[in-house]
Amino acid sequence: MSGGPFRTIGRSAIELANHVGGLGLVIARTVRALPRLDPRELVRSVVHFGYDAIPLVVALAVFIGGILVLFANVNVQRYGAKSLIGWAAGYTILREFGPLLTALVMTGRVGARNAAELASMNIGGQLEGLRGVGVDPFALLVAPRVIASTIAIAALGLVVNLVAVFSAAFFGQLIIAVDPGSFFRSLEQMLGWRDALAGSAKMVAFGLTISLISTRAGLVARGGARAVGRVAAVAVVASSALLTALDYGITVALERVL
Amino acid sequence: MIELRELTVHYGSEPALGPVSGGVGGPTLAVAGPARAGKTTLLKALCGLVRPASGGVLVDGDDLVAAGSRLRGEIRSRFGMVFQNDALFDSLDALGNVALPLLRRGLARPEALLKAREALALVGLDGQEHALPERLSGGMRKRLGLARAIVARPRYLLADDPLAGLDPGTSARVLDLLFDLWKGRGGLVIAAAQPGPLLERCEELLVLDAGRPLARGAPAEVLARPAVRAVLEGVES
Repeated sequence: MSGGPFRTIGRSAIELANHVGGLGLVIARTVRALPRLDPRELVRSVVHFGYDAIPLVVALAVFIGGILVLFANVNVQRYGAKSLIGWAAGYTILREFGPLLTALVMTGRVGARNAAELASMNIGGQLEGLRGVGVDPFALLVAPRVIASTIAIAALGLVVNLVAVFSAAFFGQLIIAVDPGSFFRSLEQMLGWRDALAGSAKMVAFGLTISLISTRAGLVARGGARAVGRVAAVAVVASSALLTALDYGITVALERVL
Repeated sequence: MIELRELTVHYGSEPALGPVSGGVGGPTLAVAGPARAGKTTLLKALCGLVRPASGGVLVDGDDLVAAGSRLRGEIRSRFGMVFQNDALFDSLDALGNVALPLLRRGLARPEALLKAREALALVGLDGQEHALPERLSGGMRKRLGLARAIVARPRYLLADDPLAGLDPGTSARVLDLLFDLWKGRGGLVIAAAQPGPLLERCEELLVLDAGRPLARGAPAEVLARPAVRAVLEGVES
């Protein structure tokens, strides 16, 4: 059919502009609601999204440390680079594995939950009910959730980094007999504040991405119960894709400045 | 007094209401019509929950559509609304739901809770302060929605099909409560698919069909028109 590809491209461009504009609106309204943000909801959301996920991310971090040591073991065997194991594990965890894996897991846990809860409130009329009694849903619900999920994901990323490094030290001793003292010396000597800053910047960016995408997905949900499931899936898929692309972009940018 | 001036509302490109003009100043107005007649949209437009495509809404002389965010918020605080689907906040108990509008308007917590308890007592829900909405029956949820709508003592009360889904006995009790509470307070606008139970109590009846006003006036006069009867009999059947 003539014009088919152009029509598809045009529709996709309009859809993309719609999503970008929608995200911009969520950001603008969240920023505007910050002075009236409900502190109780902020604390409740930090606990809901962050504190409750600590056991999950600790388990994740333990295995990240173990997997890194298993991979490093190949090079240690081949090149005898035992003294670099602390640096290699720390660099990979702080700059890449910690932030990205935490974000991908939190996309499923925090992003899907946030999108589904907001969608359910939206479809059930609770958000409109708040407006109807003179309460701004952004001040009461949306802004606290955006801030809380960003804080929670960034904080959980720190927990993952810390536990994964100790886990790598433990498995290093267990699998390739690297002395923990030597492990941490190599880590301390070869890693600096730039590496910690790079990881932290990624975690904040990832947290903000997950919270904004899931919030937008929840707020535009229309329909019934199926729509709730659909927006949760959309939030996870869109966030995961964007996180991976964002990770590449931030890594390239940070290599130049840090 | 609320005055509508050639008000139209669109959802996307689809017209949902209007043009509607006239005053809503009488103590009680019933709005009736079949599904998708524009009843809910009219109520939402009156209190600024939907933005009109054209025309205006004057509330006590203040233009709701043209108002800046501060004045708009103040105008909206003159309204209380009972939603068709209750629109209660699931994670808050009955007391929290009713106190919420007061707390967000800056009232001190003890005072807000005291007023919320009074409102709950008015609708017969004293003793249910700490019950979550999901634990309440349909009639109790309606009464809770009513308590939340009136707790801030609004000048106008809008009730969107407050009897939907209730059995006749509970409907009669909710309706008695609504009119008793609102006697002499200000404007009361009630939308209902079937206006039957409202006709004896409302001074005026507005019938909408496909978003447009079909008739308006004293209920007996409006119901005498064949076109109105045909539309409302369609709803009954």
